[in-house]
Amino acid sequence: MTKPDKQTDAAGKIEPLFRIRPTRQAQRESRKDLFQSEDEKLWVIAQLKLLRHWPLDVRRQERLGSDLDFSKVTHRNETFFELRLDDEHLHQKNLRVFFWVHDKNRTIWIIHGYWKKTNRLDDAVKTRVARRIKNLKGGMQDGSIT
Amino acid sequence: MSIIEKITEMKQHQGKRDDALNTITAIAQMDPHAREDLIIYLEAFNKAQAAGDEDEQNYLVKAIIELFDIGGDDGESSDLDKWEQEIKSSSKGRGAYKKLQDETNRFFKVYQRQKARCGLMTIRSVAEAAHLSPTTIQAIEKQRVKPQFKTIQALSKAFGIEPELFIQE
Repeated sequence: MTKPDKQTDAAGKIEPLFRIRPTRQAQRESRKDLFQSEDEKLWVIAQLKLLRHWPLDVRRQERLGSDLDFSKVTHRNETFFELRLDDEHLHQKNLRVFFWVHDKNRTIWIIHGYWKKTNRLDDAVKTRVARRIKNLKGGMQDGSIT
Repeated sequence: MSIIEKITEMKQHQGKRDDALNTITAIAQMDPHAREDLIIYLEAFNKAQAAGDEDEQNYLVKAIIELFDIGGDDGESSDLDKWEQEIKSSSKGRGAYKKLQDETNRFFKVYQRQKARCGLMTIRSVAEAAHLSPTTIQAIEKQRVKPQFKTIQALSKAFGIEPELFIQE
């Protein structure tokens, strides 16, 4: 008997693999700078919920950049993902959400949100995200973040 | 000229020697990685200033302030559901949630009908017809999330309908 394809055939039975946690910094940004309306916030949260089924197989096959529009970024020894969002719910074009996948804890951390005007991902943004991940890892290590 | 010298010069010129000294002390106390980050931010700031990009300048100022916020307050955070609840607890949030739910229900009604009409009964068959990944379709169906417009466009193509059908009905 052939083994069923975990991601497709057993769709109704698979539970979300990851839990999604925005860092306090990301949450604070969402309150102060990032969004103009509750509509926007809730729509973005709904999209982030899709990450609960983080496509491990897709990632392995390096088929990123298709429907959910991810790209993998490595900067300053930190690897994270950039999710591009664009929809009529957003007050500006091109929202970028940066997240870090913590496989061991089955947690996806939302690290940063940024409205991007150009296609180039600035070093300053990557540096900010990498720094936050480094701090997050430090917090986990010293037990201040659980 | 080093950044420290540059800041000192600038601050002294403005007659704010104490501020300059405080800034130098803060930079000196930073870890070397933070200092490197500061240089990146300052270079980007200069570019943004030359280009007259106010938003970018504000972004970088916040990034610099964050660097000096030693330790930060990145302690406990809630998860996505709590965050959603928090938004939904206000009257504005409740209204927005209802609107989003209505849109989502409308989307799924059309989605299920079109799926059946096209005989695309499995997640894989929808994914293949729309050139999307099965995990995306699975996540959309399982979480009952109305996807981004570009995903709606891909689904419309697969079903042979106009994307507006998903939105208006």
